[in-house]
Amino acid sequence: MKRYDLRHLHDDFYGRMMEIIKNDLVINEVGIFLFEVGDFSSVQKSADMIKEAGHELMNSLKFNEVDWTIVVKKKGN
Amino acid sequence: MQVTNKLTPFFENLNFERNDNMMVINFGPQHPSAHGQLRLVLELDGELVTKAYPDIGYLHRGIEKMAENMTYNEFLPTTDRLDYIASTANNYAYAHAVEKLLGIEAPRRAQVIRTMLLELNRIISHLFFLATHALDVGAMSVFLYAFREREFAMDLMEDYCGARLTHSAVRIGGVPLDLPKGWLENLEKFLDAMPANIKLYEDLLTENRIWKMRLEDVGVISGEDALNWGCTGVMLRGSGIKYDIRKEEPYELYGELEFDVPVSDRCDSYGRYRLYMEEMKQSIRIIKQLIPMYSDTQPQLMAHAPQYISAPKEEIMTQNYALMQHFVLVTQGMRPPVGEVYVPTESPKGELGFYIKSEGEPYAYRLKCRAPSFFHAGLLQEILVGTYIADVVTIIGSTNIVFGEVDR
Amino acid sequence: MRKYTPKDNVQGKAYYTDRFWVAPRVPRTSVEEDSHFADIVSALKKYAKDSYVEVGQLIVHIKPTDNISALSILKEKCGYTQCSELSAVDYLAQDGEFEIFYQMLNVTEAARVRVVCRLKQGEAIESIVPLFKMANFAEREMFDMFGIVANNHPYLKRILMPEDWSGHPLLKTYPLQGDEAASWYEVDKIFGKEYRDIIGSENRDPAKIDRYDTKRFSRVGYEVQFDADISGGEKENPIEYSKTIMANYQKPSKKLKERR
Repeated sequence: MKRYDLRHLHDDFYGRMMEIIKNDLVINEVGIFLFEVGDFSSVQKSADMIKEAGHELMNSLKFNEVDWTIVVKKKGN
Repeated sequence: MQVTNKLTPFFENLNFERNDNMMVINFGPQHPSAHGQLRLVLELDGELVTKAYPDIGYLHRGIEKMAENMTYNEFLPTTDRLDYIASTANNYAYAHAVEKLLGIEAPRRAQVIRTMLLELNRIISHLFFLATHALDVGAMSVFLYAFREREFAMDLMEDYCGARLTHSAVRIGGVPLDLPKGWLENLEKFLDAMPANIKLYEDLLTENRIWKMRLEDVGVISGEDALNWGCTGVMLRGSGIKYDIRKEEPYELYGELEFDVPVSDRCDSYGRYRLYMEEMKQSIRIIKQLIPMYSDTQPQLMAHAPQYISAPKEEIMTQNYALMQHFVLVTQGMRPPVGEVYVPTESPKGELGFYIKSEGEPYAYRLKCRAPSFFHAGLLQEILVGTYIADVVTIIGSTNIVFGEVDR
Repeated sequence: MRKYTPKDNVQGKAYYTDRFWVAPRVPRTSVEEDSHFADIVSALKKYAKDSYVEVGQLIVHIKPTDNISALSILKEKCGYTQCSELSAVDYLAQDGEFEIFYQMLNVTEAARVRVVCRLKQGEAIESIVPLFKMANFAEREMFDMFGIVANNHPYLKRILMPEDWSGHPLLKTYPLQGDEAASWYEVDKIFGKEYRDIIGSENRDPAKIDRYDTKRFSRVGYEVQFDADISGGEKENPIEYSKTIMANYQKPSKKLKERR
């Protein structure tokens, strides 16, 4: 299980997140990502990206007023 | 009786003139080679010490009292401040004692990481001993060389747990963090460079005429006296008694590793110095065996005991019961079973043991920390008599006492 | 009926306990027959009231009066040549006794025995310095922390606390922040009792800031002369953040009386 803080990337953290899942995590390993919410669009968008990449979104929680956290288990590719 | 006022303060050596030159001096709390806050009241006949009284308690913070008012996990960071030269040794001794009380075992990967950290701390502590002991006796350059090596080791510790001195790198039930990327390679590089440096120190000191004159037959403790005074660790092995808790009562992975325990029956500071150098080589040998062990272990870091230890972060973030249990364990603290346990471990200074008496409350009912330096400081009272002032400094250095442990 | 909790035990206590919760016990096994511990118990059978093995170490309960004879048997006959630790546990609230334990180590067998005895409050115990010289410091610490006197100890004085400290810190009735004598120790010793209210109580709140104190605080961006008066006639009332830590013993309050 590894934890990654992407809050410094503000809104364009998707590329970095997918890159981390592809390289740093092994199959069936869990990654916890923390990112800024902004206008709450990133919540839905990140869930969709995880789904279409074939990984399992285990949880998606509000971390605090301005941050959101998702728990991703790496599956497929 | 002296009438003291602002102009004529208390004059300790009043009897200097009376009965020839019997003088009382303070090897005061602020002394460059006092290894901390030791006030040694020395009664001198000229340069010869006739009576020594170690007055300790200047760094007393009431750690055992704090232990009774803090839950078990809260108390772990205060154990860093016991022997602040190698704080992972205290964390580990405390965590191991609580695990024995709970009856749980750390997972394999945590054990490998813990043993590596323990041996790395032994090297750090021995380098610190060598540096300060050599500086006290007068060898300046060894001080700088040893501290340079110690910096590399402390960088490794900082990479792992973020702190140079107060590591708190061990948790009850396992290890908080996994090894960062590239840590093992740096450790490998550090271990390859170490033997050359140890050889450098030995070339500088071991055959050095001054060093041998200053250390041989100084601070002689017979085997029977060492046992009587409660000496442990290198002080005991320096007097001919082969007792190393890592060998006799193996804990963690020490049962599987093969290393030998150096013993010398010289009973003096020179013998102990040779033992410390030999132990550093053994520590390197141990870590070298541990590095391959790390790769074939499961990635589990904390033991699985739901009622004592909270679940790993991924379960807490996803399952409700893990979150509830985590909340109760953090706010109220875990409740160990009723009973008492005394668990000795081999810290770089000697046998460091924690006696924990628990009544089933989240607060320990009584926690006694058996610190090796406390009894080595008590030993000074006897072996300093009949030595010269220059030897006093050597003996204090040779007993390797640290005052966070002595005063607790 | 509410559960009885001893009022004078001012140490940390769990603020919630399940009503019917019973704490499990660390497993105790009896001493099996032909083991090393068995012949220890047989050697001590005259004194051993109760003996069992807990977490791999033999524990023997004896009477406090025959601690020297039991330990000398252990030292001479059974080869337990090192007493690695000696200390006490405070059971005054429960049954008015201290529990003193001696942790013995056999270097050849690598075995450990703990000799435990129960000492009534106010009683003194016989010092074991003739047997083990390490007890010199250990018993002084026990006297300093609990007030247990070791008879004919060569130099029984306080070891960790100052010589003239009043009160024994590790007792359950001694609060963690120290009692009144502890917080006024320096003032009484240097200036005397009557200077207490002139000097004021010790500041233990690390976050305390005096707004108009220009001696110890620099006003970044608004620098003034050292010790300049910037209060503008306004009397500063200190902001009290931590009431529990700043136990001011001057004001007679019920809560404090109960804590002491």
